[in-house]
Amino acid sequence: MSDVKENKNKEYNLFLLVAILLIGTFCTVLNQTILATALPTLMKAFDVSTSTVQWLTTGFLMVNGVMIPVSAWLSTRFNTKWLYIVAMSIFEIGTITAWTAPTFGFLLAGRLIQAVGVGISMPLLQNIMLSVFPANKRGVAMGMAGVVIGVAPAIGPTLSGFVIDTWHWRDLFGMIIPIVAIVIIMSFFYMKPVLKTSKSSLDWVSLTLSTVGFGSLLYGFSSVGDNGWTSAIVLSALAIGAVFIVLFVWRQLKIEKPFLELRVFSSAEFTIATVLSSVVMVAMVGVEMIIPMYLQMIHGMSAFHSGLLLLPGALMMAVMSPITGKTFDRLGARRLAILGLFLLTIGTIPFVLITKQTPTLYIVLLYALRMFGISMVMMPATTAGMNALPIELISHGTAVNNTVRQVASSIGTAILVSVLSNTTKGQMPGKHLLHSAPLEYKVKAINATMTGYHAAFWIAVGFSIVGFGLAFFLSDKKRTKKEILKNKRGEA
Amino acid sequence: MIIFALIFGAIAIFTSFIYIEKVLPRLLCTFISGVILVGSIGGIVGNYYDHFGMHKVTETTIQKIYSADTTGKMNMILFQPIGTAGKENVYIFTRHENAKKVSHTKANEYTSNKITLTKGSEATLKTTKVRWQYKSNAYKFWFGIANNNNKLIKRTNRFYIPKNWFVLSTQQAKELKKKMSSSSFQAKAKEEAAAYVESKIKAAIVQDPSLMTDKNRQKKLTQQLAAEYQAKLLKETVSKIK
Repeated sequence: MSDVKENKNKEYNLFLLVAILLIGTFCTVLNQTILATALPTLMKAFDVSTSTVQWLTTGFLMVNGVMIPVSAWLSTRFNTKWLYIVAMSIFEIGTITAWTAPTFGFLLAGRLIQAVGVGISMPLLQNIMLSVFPANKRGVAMGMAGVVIGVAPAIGPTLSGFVIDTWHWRDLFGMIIPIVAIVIIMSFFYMKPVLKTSKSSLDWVSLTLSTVGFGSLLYGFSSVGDNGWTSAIVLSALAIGAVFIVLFVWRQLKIEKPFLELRVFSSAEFTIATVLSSVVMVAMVGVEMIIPMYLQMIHGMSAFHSGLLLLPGALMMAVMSPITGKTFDRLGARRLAILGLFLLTIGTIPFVLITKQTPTLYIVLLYALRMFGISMVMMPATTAGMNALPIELISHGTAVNNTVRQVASSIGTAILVSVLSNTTKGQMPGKHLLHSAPLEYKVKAINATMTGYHAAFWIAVGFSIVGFGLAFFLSDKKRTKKEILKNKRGEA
Repeated sequence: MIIFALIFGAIAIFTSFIYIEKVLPRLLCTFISGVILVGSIGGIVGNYYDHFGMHKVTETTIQKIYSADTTGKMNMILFQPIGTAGKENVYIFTRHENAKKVSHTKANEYTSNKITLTKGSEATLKTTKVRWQYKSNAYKFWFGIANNNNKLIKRTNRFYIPKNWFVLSTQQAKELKKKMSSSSFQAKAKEEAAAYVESKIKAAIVQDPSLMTDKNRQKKLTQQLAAEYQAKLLKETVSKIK
């Protein structure tokens, strides 16, 4: 803990520093899901298909993921204050690009630039929070970070629905611009270089390998919706992705100062925790994208109304975050994760059977139940994974955990959407029916879309069940405590 | 009620699994609240997937309907095809005698229409609606909050139309109107009507010479014949349009 004491002696304004961090990161993380209820509107505005429009979300998550290890390096190489200012400025540029986008290509470009900024600032938040709070306060500190990293994406859909119905989709980006501008200005005064830096170099080869590898995988899975599972594009993209990732992993294990310290996976606890938080992230982001589509396209709701129905679930995350934080400090992650994934599973199964007339009240309730479960897993599992690592590996652990989580949620969501569009496409009635018997066409088209949703939710159920099984392998409280003690002794 | 059971179950399972220290009471309470939670989810899924607690209720109404021609000149019912296959139509009629506003059947996936020509002189519409309704107040108490009572499943409109009515598409009706309002058609019709009436009256007088002097009967017959011709002309014109 020598870093922290040293920093404390400098007597910086912890409150303002944390506030700037939290507000700035809130804006950036909000952008992960801000388009969820906006996708049907954007599909109309730019005349693109479901499997194209999903790039705005999955591409964003992917760049996020790939940027995280870069961020880990940046945070040990450059002054925290300037790094944060630069990250927020990149985010601001991306936001302005998206705000003014004349075509879908520009919008996607703006989103990807935004994602670079988010990719740097998000792990920075966790690193700073972990270093300015002592280990025994980490549950609470991570709970606060959890409000930002967990809740911002959760309220994204509701906020975006409101903005779209009241103003225009462009305002989704427009409204963030002034807030981020203020955060950037405030950072000049109150942000401090709290993280220790040293001269080191980035392994550009690894960055290239991981970008090409994960990008190619995402491209492959995203193309399923338009081209089908067995098309040459999909198979070759997946194969190229797999080869590059194997090369990437091999390089990480070989070189002395790896880009991503994959050795953190030698801790079983960390591995399970990372897989769990990834599974839960997929379950959250993927379903959060599909439910608004279902509500808008099948129930004919407005963007705001569909977003509003997701709000109780979002509030659930906000209410539960501090509670699970405290519970984690007392009990560890195992019991929370088991219960959370049980709730997530039994809350997801009903969605496999939804009909075109399922009362919206039930959707709201079951969605909230899922979020209730998710809130018990996401932050506790992440923190448990960190605690399982010795202190010198924590920053690597954060990077690996975040990268895996983002990349997994990107690819997982792409798979969900691909299954959705692919199944829907296979069931869709011929276009001629639209002219000869439009009502029959409508019934058949809705049924086809419903089959697509069911298939996607089956995948979500599969993820939940896998997570539920894995949760039992988390260690319980006693061992976690020992680990923490061991970590403390290790650094003393 | 079911939603409160679900919320209660969710909070209870969290509280008992996380906050009860002793193992046995913890597992017991967790199990009980789990049963409540899973049970209420099962009820909800059953309710929306399989209409658990509901049954189909059929209600039938029969009403007399009137011509879609609000001028009252012709007896007809109109239809507007939705698709090109002709399987889906919206039918247009009026609900009251001399009504100024026409009514039409709904254009949605729940509604189907059927036309039967009858020997009678009155046109009727028999509407059969099938709805989901809660079997009992107890079920309604548990699930009614979802606002899914009385949801329509199917509506069938059976039109019973006298044989001498016209069943025309709106397109045909338009053409008919256009044709009949053209001055050349009207002039020709007038001429032909006069000729028709004249020839028929002559024939009638040949059969019954007393008619010659009875102006009253002659006038009546003239009117009758004019109407007869009108009907004949309409039928001919319509068959040409078709």
